[in-house]
Amino acid sequence: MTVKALRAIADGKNGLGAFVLQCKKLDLHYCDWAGSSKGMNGFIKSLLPKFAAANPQIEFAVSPRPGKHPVIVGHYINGRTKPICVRNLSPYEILQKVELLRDASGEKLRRTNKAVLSTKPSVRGIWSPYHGKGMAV
Amino acid sequence: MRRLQSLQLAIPSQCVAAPRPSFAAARAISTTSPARSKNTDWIRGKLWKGEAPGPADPYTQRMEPEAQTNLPEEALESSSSRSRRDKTPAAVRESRLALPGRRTEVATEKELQASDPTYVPAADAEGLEEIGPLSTWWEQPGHWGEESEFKGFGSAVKVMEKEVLEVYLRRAVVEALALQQKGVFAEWATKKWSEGGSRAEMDQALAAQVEVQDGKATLKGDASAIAEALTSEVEEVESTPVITVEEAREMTKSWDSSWKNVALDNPLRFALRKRLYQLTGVLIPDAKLAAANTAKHILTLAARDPKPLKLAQVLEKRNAFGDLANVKVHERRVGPIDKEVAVGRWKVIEEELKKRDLPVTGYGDAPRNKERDWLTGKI
Repeated sequence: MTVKALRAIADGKNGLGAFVLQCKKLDLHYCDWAGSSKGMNGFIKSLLPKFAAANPQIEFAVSPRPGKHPVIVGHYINGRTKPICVRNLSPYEILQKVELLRDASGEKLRRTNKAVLSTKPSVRGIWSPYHGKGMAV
Repeated sequence: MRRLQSLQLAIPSQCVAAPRPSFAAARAISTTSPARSKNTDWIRGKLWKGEAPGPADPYTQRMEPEAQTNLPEEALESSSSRSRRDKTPAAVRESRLALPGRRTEVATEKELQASDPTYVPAADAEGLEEIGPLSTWWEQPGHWGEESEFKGFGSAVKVMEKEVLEVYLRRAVVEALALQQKGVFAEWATKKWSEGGSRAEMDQALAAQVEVQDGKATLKGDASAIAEALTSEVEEVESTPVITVEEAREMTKSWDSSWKNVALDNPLRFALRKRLYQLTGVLIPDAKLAAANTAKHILTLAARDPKPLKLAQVLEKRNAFGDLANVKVHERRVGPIDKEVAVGRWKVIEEELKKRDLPVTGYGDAPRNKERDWLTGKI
């Protein structure tokens, strides 16, 4: 069974109670024949066993896709997927991509230009002691 | 007018150059009555202003003039009589296969009644011999059996392992040397050697010692018996004995490897290649064979690297993910049906498709997606 987020009435605050990794599954596709899969095949043979042992909460599915470039697809608990083509990459470069997929939230990439990202932003803004007339205590 | 003139010029000259036989004689059946042709004579006379060329009735069959040949009369006679008798090609005529008979036509009911007044037409098919259609001719008994199957010269079972190939090559070398010693090599180099299906024959050949000095090989063993076994014409039914790789490995270890240095001349090279093909089914290409100067080279050319293992097989062999419960390795591509099977939905889909008489896989009788071809510019 794959990990699924509980449908909570209130939004889960990941990390406040227990940490749930957002990536639930990684599909690793390779080709036995094609040269662009050389690094991927090496990664599956040499690096994946260790990585899979270190991340038991992620399901790994290794399957061939003959005649196609190697692809890693991350599945996330928000229902989104994130595919990355790893053609002609070396095993260590692929490891970086796999780590990226593991750590990703599954959300669309957005530019963040605020220091704090809130799901319920305050109407009044953040209180500052240096602004306003001050408060008599 | 010019056209008419040219027509006038052309037609009589043709008629003079190739005089045709009487067309009236050549006519088998004519639908025009002679009276009608008489009626048209006057207009022909007017048109041509005198003797009209060509036949009076142009709608009759034309007989082609006979081709002129310089062949003697006997040859002409024999060829004409044969062509009249049978026009089937020689290969078909001399074939040992039972071929379907020629098409024959039966006299019509009217004709039969005319010749035989006692003839009564049949009312049912009782007592008629039942023969299948022409499309099932080769499936009918006696028309295509095991004897008609193609039997190639080379062994049908291809030997892939290098060790086993080495054993067979050694046998081929010993046999060729034995024939050379008996002085019948030149005669037998181009003939088919006995297949040597029995294990005893093989052991006999492999028991002989090959000593090589400066590329010159001498055979120490019962050369005459080996040569005899090769040249005897015994109908064999046994196939080539199968040697296991372990057995072959032990055999090759027991021999001194110097036998592979035997120098090859052209006849020997050819004989070894042919024998190896007969025993193992491995045929060395002509272009590569010329480069082989010793038996070792022949072995290098004949042996092929084993097919590399697939990644899934390698992982299974190594037991790379043996104790990891979160890793699944698939040997085949995971398709849409596999994905449905994994979540247990496929049997439901299959059932529903069957209920609606829809094809479970593929598109059934529905035509291909034409719109896709339009988009990709195929149509």
